[in-house]
Amino acid sequence: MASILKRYPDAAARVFVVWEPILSTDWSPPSTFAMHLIPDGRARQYWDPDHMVAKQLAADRRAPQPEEECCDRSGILWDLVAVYPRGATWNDRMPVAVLFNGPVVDVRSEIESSLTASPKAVAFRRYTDRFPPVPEW
Amino acid sequence: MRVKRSWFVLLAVVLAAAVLCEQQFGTHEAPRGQPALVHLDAGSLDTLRTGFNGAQDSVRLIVLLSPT
Repeated sequence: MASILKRYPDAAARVFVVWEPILSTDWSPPSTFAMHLIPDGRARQYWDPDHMVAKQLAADRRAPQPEEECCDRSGILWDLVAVYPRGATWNDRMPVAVLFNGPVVDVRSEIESSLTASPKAVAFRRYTDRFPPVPEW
Repeated sequence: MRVKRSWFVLLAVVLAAAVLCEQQFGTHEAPRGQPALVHLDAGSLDTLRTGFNGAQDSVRLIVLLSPT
């Protein structure tokens, strides 16, 4: 994640890094060392011992959001990135993500595409996503 | 005397390593330019939502990670 942000220093992005205890060694909040793995000023870091964010993300999954292909351990989402376009609002439910997958290291190119997509292209995609897919002839 | 000096050097190295480990792994300090780590609970989840909605002009990424 840090290398992606470093590669796009001017991208208008905000990264919410949510650390959660998944492995047996995760018995305390992220260390200074772990937090400095993502040093970019556009990042905000959280410690979520009760998996509230993961549970909210799981509960609010819905079409046309793409389905994740991984990232579940004992029913808890982790090592996953959810990307939301400009203008998306989190009301009583999370908005629909344009990317919802992991492991993070494997979706690097998709994250980069999301960061560089123009606002007009994103708006057009959100508009067309409201319609059912065209059937194949 | 030479043995004593080498023990002092070894002790200094061990102490320096311990201090470095304590700084890196025993504390929870955010990188420069970022606010402090937020501990989420039922009462503070809204801080994440507020931050999310407050950055509407940006692409927002939520990344779920394990600390170790």
